[in-house]
Amino acid sequence: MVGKMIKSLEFFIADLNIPIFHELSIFLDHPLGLLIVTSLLIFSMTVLFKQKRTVMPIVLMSLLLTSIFTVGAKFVYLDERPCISEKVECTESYSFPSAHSAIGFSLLLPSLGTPAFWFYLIYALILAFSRLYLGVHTILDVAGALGVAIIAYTISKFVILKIEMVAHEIRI
Amino acid sequence: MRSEFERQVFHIFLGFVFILMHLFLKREIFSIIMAFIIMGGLITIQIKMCYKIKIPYIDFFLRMFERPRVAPGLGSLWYCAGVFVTGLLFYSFNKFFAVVLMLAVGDGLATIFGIHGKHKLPWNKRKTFEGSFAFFAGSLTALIVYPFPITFFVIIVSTVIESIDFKLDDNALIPLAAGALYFLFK
Repeated sequence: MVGKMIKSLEFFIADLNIPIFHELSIFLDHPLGLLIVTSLLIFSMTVLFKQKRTVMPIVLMSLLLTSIFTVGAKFVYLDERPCISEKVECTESYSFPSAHSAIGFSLLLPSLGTPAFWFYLIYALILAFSRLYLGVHTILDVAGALGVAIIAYTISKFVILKIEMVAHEIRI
Repeated sequence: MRSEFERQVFHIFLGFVFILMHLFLKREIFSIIMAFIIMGGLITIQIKMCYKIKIPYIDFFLRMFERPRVAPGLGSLWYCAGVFVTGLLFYSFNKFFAVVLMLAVGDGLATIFGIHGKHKLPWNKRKTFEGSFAFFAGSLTALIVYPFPITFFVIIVSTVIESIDFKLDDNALIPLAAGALYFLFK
């Protein structure tokens, strides 16, 4: 029953028509649009974050790993795209997990505990909702994106902190 | 302030709650619910860290689960994140069950016995042989639900990983390591 409710919710969101959000979703759907906005947000981190020397490498590595893991996971799970709306042309690539949403969550996780968190939360939610709005992903794909972002962030944090520790010991 | 014993009993109990949730809701719905829990957790931690506001029920949960003098909710968040990622990784319920048993029972017993241990590990002065042995013994329960040689291998590797000070929360490290091993050797 819960499964049917989730499917109905996915169809309901894909059937929505919100003019401003429609344009925004289509802009973010395009790789160039996503690249522009994500680059701007990464750049803004250099202004918003106090510990930028530690946070920036974690963010960049996390984004790189997220991209690798999402592409890898798509070819492991081989989930077909839902394509439940005609707002954009549905690509033939696999669906699980959502790469767009994973990028949003990858920016969100390092911002936890800073005032910038709310800013990145809104971006991550807009990005995730836009994938459902365009009907190119399911809610599970978006949830999977959060999982991928968590794995990528954990590994990145571990590696960068280890490198910093070693560098610190060498300096001493 | 709760004792470490009570905290770890709750840690084990919560693991079984997640196992039952996965059993009855199945992977898809379980993952979606966990994603919502984690998003809620992130927002709660942000509120607690930046604004220090008291939140009824959530504060009770944090008192049950969190150690004093650590960032509020981070341990719980890593625990949920570990279970969530494990749930996403596997279609097989038994593999999920095995990893969560290692996290809940193994890690829970490791702390309960480890804090009373007297023999410090040479490579990590914050942990003891007694704790590592308890982790290994507790994790052996995973063999009941997934009785294959790979499980024994995963338990040994997880025991070693748990004993090393990686500066990362064990709640994230154990499911990630165990999950990755199961995933690679499937």
